[in-house]
Amino acid sequence: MTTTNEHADIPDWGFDLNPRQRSGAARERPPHPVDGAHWTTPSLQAAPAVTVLRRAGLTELTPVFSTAVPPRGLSGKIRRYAYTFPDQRVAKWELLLFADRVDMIESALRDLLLRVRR
Amino acid sequence: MLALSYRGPDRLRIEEKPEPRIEHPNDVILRVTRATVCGSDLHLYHGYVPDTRVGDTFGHEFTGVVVEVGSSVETLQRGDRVVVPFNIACGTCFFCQRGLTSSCSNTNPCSTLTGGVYGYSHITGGYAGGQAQRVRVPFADVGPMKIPADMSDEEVLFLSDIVPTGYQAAEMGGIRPVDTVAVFGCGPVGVLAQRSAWLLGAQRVIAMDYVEERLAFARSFARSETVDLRETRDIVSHLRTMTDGRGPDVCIDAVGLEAEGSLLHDVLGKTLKLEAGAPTSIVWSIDAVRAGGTVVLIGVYGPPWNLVPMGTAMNKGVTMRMGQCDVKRHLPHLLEHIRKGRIDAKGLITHRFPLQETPEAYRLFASRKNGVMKCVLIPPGEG
Repeated sequence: MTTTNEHADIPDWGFDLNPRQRSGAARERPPHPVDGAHWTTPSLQAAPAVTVLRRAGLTELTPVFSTAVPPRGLSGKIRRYAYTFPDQRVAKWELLLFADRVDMIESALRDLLLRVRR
Repeated sequence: MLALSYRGPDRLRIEEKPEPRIEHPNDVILRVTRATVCGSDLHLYHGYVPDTRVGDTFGHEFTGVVVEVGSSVETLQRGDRVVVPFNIACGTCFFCQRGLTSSCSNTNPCSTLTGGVYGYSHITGGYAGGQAQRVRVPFADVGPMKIPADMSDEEVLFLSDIVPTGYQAAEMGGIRPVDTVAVFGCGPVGVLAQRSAWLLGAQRVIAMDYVEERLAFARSFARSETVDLRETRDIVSHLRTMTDGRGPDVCIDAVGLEAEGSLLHDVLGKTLKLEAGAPTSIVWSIDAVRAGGTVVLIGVYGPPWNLVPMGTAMNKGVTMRMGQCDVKRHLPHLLEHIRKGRIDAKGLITHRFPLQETPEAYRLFASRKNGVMKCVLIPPGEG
């Protein structure tokens, strides 16, 4: 077994040797709310004014969600279709990767159009 | 406000975007004081992560000052300086109550893979990230930690991700004082995993990389033994030779899906995207670890799948532990490690860029040249 003397050149070697000292030990406690949470169930974010895609099987949006960069254009239609597949289906991910590339082309064309109009 | 905008693989720009607003009573809005680029941001940058949309703002490592407070926020007020875990967590769901704040079920409607994450594509909820002047922070009473008055933003910035991530990687190894720990990757998370392995009492820490400057950094920052992968034809055999023919007790993959070293996986995963990037470090970890040893995956991988030698892992009785870091539970402990100098987090900063030059920061970080470890981004007016 190694000792502090053997590792005299390593500053603070073994400071967290005791597993109870490690920050992972917090997981060994019975379930408890994280400090700061003052709710049993979080309140709900207001219904979005833009499309927020939900994964297959989720009937309602999560209490908190993002409204940034909603799906749009042809890539948005592909994303909507991709989201009809559950996560365990490869089709969801491959369709989303494809949508990402379509999005890139659509956005480049949009940028070009804006530049031409100016 | 100025914010990063993704335009497609390897294409970013800084543009004017609307400022974020309070959308939930427990939101705050931060004025970002410091942000940084993570190794996992490069997977977004290179187009590996599904549902990364043009216009996305990246950035899951940041500090800031509270400028706007939602109606139900109790622990923060305007002017508070905070560092924010990259996980967005509600604090009360099944997973948060068990310390698994990276898997919060109340913050990501888009997939089951993780809870919400700032700036990391819509598979983690699509939240705008902190490579911007302002950022929306949900569940502000749960996530952010106030920065002590005697510490600077740059001292604690990496508590948002890489310091706890490196530490959790070492913890997941179940390191005992007799153990040899081999860490693939001498990037920021890799050297922090190496440093953490010593704190947990490892007997020996071996670090591997292709980049000489990163190997040198691992020797000086983490006091690790290093192996240059450019000079080693067969790293698995080499590690066995270094460990009396058995293999390391713990192998930590701190590289992730853009690993080098296998033509097969480069073609399948990086070129053709028939698998989710290259699992080369996973393969080497499974092959190299001793029978009955532990493989830890802390490098990021994405959906859908990868080719890895499960038969080898099964027959050798390998324990595999992996996951996104549950940052929140580590913060008090690791803050003290930083305060007392046991982890020199600020020592990882090698470059600073104005926010307006973030695309250049990405190019440098991706190149791994000029001794780059962490690039810190500084929004206008933040000094």
